[in-house]
Parts: sequence; structure tokens; C-alpha cells
Amino acid sequence: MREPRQITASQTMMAIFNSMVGISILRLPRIASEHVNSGAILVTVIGLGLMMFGIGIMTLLGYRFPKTSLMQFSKQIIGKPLSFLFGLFILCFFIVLIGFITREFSFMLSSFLYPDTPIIVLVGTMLFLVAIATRNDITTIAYMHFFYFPLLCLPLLALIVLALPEVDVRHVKPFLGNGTTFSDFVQGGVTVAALPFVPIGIFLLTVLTPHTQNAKHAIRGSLLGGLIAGVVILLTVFVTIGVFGYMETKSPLWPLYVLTRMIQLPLELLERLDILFLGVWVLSTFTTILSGYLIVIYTGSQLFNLKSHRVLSYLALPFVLGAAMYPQNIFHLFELIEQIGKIGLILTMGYPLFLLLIALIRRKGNMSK
Amino acid sequence: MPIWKRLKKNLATQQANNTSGETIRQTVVKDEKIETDHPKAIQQIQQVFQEEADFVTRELVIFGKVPATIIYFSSLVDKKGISEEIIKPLLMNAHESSLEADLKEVIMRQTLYHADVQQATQLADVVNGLLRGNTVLLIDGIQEGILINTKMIEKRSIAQPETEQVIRGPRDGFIESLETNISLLRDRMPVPQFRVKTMQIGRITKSTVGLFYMDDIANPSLVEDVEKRLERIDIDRVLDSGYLEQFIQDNPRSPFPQVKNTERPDVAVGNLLEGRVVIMVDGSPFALIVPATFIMFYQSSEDYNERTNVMSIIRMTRLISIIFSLITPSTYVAVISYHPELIPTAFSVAITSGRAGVPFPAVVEVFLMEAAMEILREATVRMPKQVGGALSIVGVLVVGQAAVMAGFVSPITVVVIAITTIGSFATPAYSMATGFRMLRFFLIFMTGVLGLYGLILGLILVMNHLLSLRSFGVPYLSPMSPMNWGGMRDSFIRAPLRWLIDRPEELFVKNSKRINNPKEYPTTNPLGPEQHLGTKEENE
Repeated sequence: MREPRQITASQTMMAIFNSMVGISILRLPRIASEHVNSGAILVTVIGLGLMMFGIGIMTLLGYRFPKTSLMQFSKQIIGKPLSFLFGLFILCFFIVLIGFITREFSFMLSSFLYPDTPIIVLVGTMLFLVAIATRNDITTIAYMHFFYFPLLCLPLLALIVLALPEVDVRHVKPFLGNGTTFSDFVQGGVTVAALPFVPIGIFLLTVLTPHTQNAKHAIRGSLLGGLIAGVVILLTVFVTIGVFGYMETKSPLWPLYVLTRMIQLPLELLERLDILFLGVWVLSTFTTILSGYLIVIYTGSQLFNLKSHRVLSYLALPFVLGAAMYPQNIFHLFELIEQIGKIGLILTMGYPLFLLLIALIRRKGNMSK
Repeated sequence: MPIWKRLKKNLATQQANNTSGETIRQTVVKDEKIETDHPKAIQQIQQVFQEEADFVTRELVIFGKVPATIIYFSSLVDKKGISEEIIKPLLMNAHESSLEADLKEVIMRQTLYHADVQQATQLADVVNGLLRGNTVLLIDGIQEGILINTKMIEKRSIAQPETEQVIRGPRDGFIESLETNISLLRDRMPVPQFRVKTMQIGRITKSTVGLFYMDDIANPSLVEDVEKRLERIDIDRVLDSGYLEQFIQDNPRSPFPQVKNTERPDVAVGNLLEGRVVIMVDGSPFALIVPATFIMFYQSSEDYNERTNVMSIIRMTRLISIIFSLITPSTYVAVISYHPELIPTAFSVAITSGRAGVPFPAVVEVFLMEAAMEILREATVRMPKQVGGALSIVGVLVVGQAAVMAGFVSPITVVVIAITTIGSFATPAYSMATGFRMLRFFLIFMTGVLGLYGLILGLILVMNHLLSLRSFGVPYLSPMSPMNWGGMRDSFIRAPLRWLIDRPEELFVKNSKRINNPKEYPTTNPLGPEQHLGTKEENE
């Protein structure tokens, strides 16, 4: 019995949410407060606004070219050679990005819990798990996102609620920061928007949209997903800065992780909650990397005219693993992530915008509004 | 030539040999008509069966004139029936006048008392008929043999099924006879829409396989799919419905059952009415139900017979017990070996003192105990009932107390193992419980290597596998993912029957309405508490 089963709006929404909530939000409060101290929340809002802008462009493109993937419609818009070149860029960018995220996650694991385990084991197991998962078709991957959504969303909300009593509102004031300039905010916003979860969230749409029931579902789902993820991320930043203050937030590498160490259940059931939250972070990293890896192999299969993304599931593994093992230490890794994040901003926002403009000028695609 | 190719070739030639060997045997019989000459016809059949011990030929002279022979296998037939319903009328009724008329017609229409009578001209049909318990009547001067279905096989009476016991609910179960099982189903659904299709599977056992569905509910493409998968099966034997299950399931390598089996007619009827297809084999009391989803394996037919809120809690208890049976030992290993700081200090001190003197790391300890538990469980299944008591004493004493006292394992490990084992026994479906029990070894291994991180990775792997499983195209975890709110009313909980308006959405049934007037049932007392006393007439 093969009945048509396509991705629904809610599945799109949850997939976007899961892809955005990942290891990066552990680091986000620090990144946000680095440039503008107590204006961190505003900076996050700016960054998330940029992200929503990117999602908006992508959904418009998806609406204009329903049932076609990015590679197919970019061929229509700017021709084969140019679209191939950009596709190759995107492929390389995501391979490196996924590698770095995995590496960052492994660093976190090894620095807090598994100091003796070799990094490559932590990286390899996670990537291998992801590669196995991408052997499924895209609808099944959407089911996975759907299923894991409550397992991610509820603990995060619980974390926020548990931490709320500790929040000191004075920590987040003044909203505009102390002695900051406008350019600080722009810089901070761009840094936030250059975090790895933004391109993954945006580009996941190019994979999901061709498989959604219709364009309207895709738009509704992606915008809602971006919005909910944005709100939750914003709340975690608020709670972290509210508890620690911006000075303390700057010192740990992953401030949100430190927060999970601080909070306690009202009942003395468990001594430490951070290890329980480790499960949530593993899951969130898994969903993020799953989306990223899917983008890699989907773009790759489109680029090289393969029958299915499944062909590349294991073939892409050495490349991502190579990218993951490239950085020498954590600081090198963060430096690299920031650098390629900036490039990513051009690829993930500039390129779609460029495509949309050319499509408008050349009157390509579905014109009916 | 590479090894695998050589193997493949060997296999292919073997198969060719097999089939050719069989055709030789078949050509003796194939396309051969029964001889018109009476003695020759008998000889023909006798040649096939040579000197079988239970092969009987009985010669008669019917109507006082015509020589005839009755042939049957004494092991397969109802001898009393043959005497009473076939031989007696043939010998007694001398329709002198009708002898001039067509003899065959007279015998078929006026003489034989038996209900199920057929004619056959092919020798092959006659031989097959004999082997299926028919009695063959050969009459001098008539070319056709007359096949009379006199089959009678010993069968047990209907008893309470041993695998799916309920406290409240029907007590009858399926038995090995397909015909009896069909009668159990038909009796519960006296509607013409209940369809029974039969086919024969198994080159040698020629087992009758029944395919049941509701014509006005089941999705036609599902029925077609099931039929196609069944027709594809080419095997020498089908001894139980489990054989079929393994040939028709979507993913044979998965540890999870994708076909539900039941011994209970009420469960089969309930599933037929949800739009599923039921498959039964003659000779097996287990009916297969397809497509099966995960939630079906922790539901019990009793859930629908008792009060909704109570059964909802019991259903959730079962789900929790499944999850316990999967993750308890590995969580224990993760906490003890990798993250002892997770648990409150007082408790962790107690655990440590209990573990003092235990020679192995927690993972080895748990693994050994789990293995011992599996051995114990397997031993109790296969054992004669008389020794059962002895084994349980050995189990309790040796695996429990003595092991602790000997310092072999810590007391808390025994508690963990006990929770796991009991959890797996609380699962109503044996096949699902087994799947989960085996998976927990994998999780213990993952945890032993990578701690809690390994456990989470393992769980994600298991979940992803569950999410990607399909049973006849239906997602295994529906209605949870993909979500379907109507279906959720009958998943973790069992909502009141009047809320279960629609049949499961994931089956794409023809007619989705289960309840036609859901609004007409009282939800709470509609008159208000003050008018609760007195009968309706008095209130009016």
C-alpha cells in the first residue's frame, strides 16, 4: 500500500526548529554579549531578524518555484555553469560547517564529561549515526524531526522556567548596552546571524520545500518554525544573561551549559541536571547535523545528477570527518567558525537574494500571487 | 570466479535440481484421464499409492447390478459417514426404473446423502482429492470419478488462548483448524461484506491460507498488496503463520515485529473492522494482522472492555514497562560507571558500599546478570511443568541471593535486572517484548563504551529505525509521527468509545466512520445533579 505521504506544515516547522536549536545556542549568550555587553538581547534580536529575513527570501523562492529544488531553479535563473559553481560553493561550505559543528560538540563533551576519550571517536560516532539516518527518504527524516521536536522543546522550556527564579532583571539592563555604538550592534548582529544554525535552518528549506504538500504549507511551516526557534533561543539568551550577568557570561565557553549546572529541581531527585541535559544537547546536535548533512548530500546529488541523496550518505562521511578533524584546538575552531560563518552569510542570504532579484527581472517561475 | 558468485551458482543449480526432481514425480499423474474401464481405473489409482497402509478400496455392487468401488484413505476420513451416507444409500435404494436413465445423475442427485459431492475426470484431481480426505466413487461404465468430501481430522476443542489472557473478555481462542476459525469470525460478523479468500501455499504441505477483510472498509490497494506478497511465496512447507509473516514483512532484518499475531477471535474482528487484513493458515492457531503499527503491540483487547480512565492508566503502565525493559540496565551502567555525580550523594554512597567487593565493572556485572536471566527465562519456556518449581527456586536463590552473598554482584544490580525482566513480561505482545529484550544488550554495549553519550546515540539509532519502519506502507510509529490527533485518542490512552469516531487514518479506509451519532451519548448527567433521583417518568 503506497499512499502519498508528503511533508506537512507542522513537520516543516519542527524540522526548522530542530535544525536551529543545536550546539550553537550553548555559545550564543557569550557571542551576543561579547560585542555589546548588556545589549546582548537586542543583538540577538537583530541576528534573529536577519535569520528571518533569510528564511523569508528562501520561502519566496520556494513559492515561486514550487516542487523544484534550489539546484534546479537556479539553473533556470542564472544558467547551468554559474549555478553549478554556486552549488559547489554551497556543498563545500556545508561540508566544512557540519564538520566544525560536530567538532565543537565533541570538544564540549570531552571537556566536560569525557576527557580521556579520543575526539575522533566522539566525532566519528555522531557523524556515523547521522549518515545512517540519512539513508532514509526525506519524508522519513521529516518524521524524525517531528518526533524529536517535543523532546527538544519541552526540556528547553523547562530549563527556562527552572532558571527564571534566579534571573536578576538588573543584569539585562540597559538594553542598549553600556557605551556601545551603532556599528557594535550591526557587527554583533552579523556575528549572531553567522552562527552555524542560521544557514542550516535556511537551507533545509531548499531540501524540504520540493517535498511539501504545497507551497503554502512550506511558507507557513518555515516562518512559524523560524519564529518559534527564534523565541526559544531569545529566551535562553535572556535567562543566561539574566542569571549570570554579561561579565560572567563572557568567561565560559558555553554559558548555557553552565546554566544547566546551576539549576536544580525543586525536589532533590537528581544531584546534577547538566548530565540529564547532555541527552538534550546530544539530540539537538544530532538533529542539527542531520539537517546539515542532508543539505550536503542532497545538494551533492543534485549537483552531480545522482538518482537519490542516499548514494552519498556514506561517501560524504570522510569529507565531513576531515573537516571536523582539521582545527587544531578549540580557539582555532571558533576562529574558523566565525570566518566561514561570515562567508556563509553571503552564500545563505546573498545568493538567494541575488537569485530572487534575477528571477524577478527575468520573469522566471510561478508569477501568480 | 569470486566466492559469492560461485555460491550463487551452486544455489541456483541446487534449486534447478529440486524442481526437476519434483516434476518427474508429477508427470506420472499429470494430464492423465481416468480410464473408462472399471478394473483399469482402479489399477491406475492403486499404482500411484502402491501399498500405503491406510489406503482402502471397497468393492460394491450398487443397485444390485452395477459394480462400483469406493476408495479412500482410512486415516483421513469419517468412516461412519461413509457407511451411513454413501454406502448405505448406494446399496439400499434400488431405483429400478431410473436405472435406464443416466446412472451418474441418479447417483449424484438422488442417491448420495452427503452434502459435498464433486466430479473429476483427471487422475491428478482424484489423487489430490484422496490425499485431502475425499472418498472416490468409481462406477463401472462412468468415466468420471465422484469425489465426496468425507474429511475428518482430529482437532482440539476451542480453548482459552494461552498467550493473550484477559480478565474481562471472551474466552474462546483460535484452534488449528482453519474452518473452525472462519466459523468463529463469521459468527461474530454476520454481514456479507466479510470476505474470505483462500489460497494454497507450500509445494508439499499445500497449506490452505485464508485472507480475511471487510469489503466495505479495507483499502483495496492494501488487500491487493497482501495478496501479491502471499502469492509470491514459493516454499515447500508452511507449518505456522510465522512462516508467512517472515515472507511478507517489509523489513526482515528489523528486531521489531511488523506483523501482529493473535490467538483471539475478538482481536481479529476488532482489527478487521479497523480496516486491516487478517491472514490465517490451516494448522496454526495464530492469525496474522497487517499492517501492524507499534502501538498495537502494547494494546490489549481488554482495554476496550473496561472503563476508559482506568484502562488508559494501565496502557501507559505497559508502555512504561516496555521502555523500562529497554533502558534500565544501560542507564544503570551509565550512572554507576560514568556519571555517579548524577544521583544524590546519600544514595550514591549506599550504592558504592553495596558494590564494594564486586570484582567486575558495572557493565560486565550487568551483562552477566542479563545473560543469566535470559538463560533462566529460556529454560522455563522449554521445561516440563513438573520441574518448573525447582527451577524457580534455583533462579531465585542462585541468581538472586546467593550471587549477592557471594559478592559476585551487588544487590542493586539484582534490583535493576528484576525491573528489566518484569518490565519485559508486562508487554502483552511476546514478539515485541523479545525485540526490546534483545536490543537492551546493544544499549548496554553502547553505554559500556561511551557512557550516557553512547546510550543516547543508541536510543537515537533505535528511534530512527522505528521511525523509518513501514508495515505495508504504513509508518510504524503512526499516529505519533506522522501525527494524527484522531488516532492519538487510541494510542497512549484509550479515550471513551464514543470519542473514537473514526477508524485509523493511516490505513486510508473506504469508510472511516466507526460511530455515526457521537453527539447523542450522554457525556455527564444532562439533567443536572438535583434531578438525579427518581426515574425518568417521575421527572417528566
